[in-house]
Amino acid sequence: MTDQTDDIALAAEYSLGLLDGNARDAFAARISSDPTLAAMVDDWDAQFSELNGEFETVQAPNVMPQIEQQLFGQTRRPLLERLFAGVALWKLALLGVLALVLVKAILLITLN
Amino acid sequence: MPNGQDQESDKLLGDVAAGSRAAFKLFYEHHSSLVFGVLLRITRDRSLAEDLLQEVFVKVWRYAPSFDASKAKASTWLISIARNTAIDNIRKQSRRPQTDLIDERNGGTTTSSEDIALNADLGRNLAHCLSLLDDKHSWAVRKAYLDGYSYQELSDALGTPLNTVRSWLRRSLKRLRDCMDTKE
Repeated sequence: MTDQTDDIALAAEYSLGLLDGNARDAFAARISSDPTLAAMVDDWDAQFSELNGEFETVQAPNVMPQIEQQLFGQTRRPLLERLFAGVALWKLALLGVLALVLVKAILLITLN
Repeated sequence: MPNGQDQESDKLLGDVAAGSRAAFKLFYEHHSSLVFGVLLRITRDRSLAEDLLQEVFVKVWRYAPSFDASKAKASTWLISIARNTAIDNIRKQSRRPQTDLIDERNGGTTTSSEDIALNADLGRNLAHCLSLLDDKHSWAVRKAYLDGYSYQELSDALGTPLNTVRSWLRRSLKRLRDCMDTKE
């Protein structure tokens, strides 16, 4: 029964996250085709989860807009933001400067 | 976490599974700080933890239909996704910040037995069975689970060769299983 006890330890190592790169991937592949092994991992997960109370909460940033973007494509943005979506600030500034020059030119012409 | 909150989370996840975006937003509001705490502790890297936070909740949306409230609490299910996402990520990188290794090098084993004594108050299986192991071994189990330590990091922290750590930890894990099976 060496295999069985080895698997018990392997399942625990997997559950703890101790297996590295290739070994972790290889074991994950075995789990998906072996229900007994998957059950062993579930058992360990359940047991180790008794430690979960020791994780502390840390104020998380709001990444919900990015998540929605990734899952659902476009998110609804405020009207003003949608109107100017894709319009870079420098373009707006340039437009402003052009308008000023135009007004100035008109004023110069009419005053003369 | 109080029982009422567990039930609310279970129900929210059920609604998420049914495709409710409103429930998904609420679930994020209730649990993102817990997930972020787990990710930050394991990755020790704020910007990576922020990226993974997004990844975890994308998985929550996708895996919600497979959540089974009779098997685990919503918070347990969620922490498992967060831990696995963080560990999958750090195991693919060759290095990660080692800040907390330095603190642990002196006296890590003494604090662990105090923590276990605290946990034993809960009268749970794992706490009891961990307390039967060598201090160093139960410390290693906790560091792996809570901080995502690899065998290399355990070996560095303990000043013991990696293969030695691996063989005694495997023995201890088997003993842990035997102990928990007899308690059940």
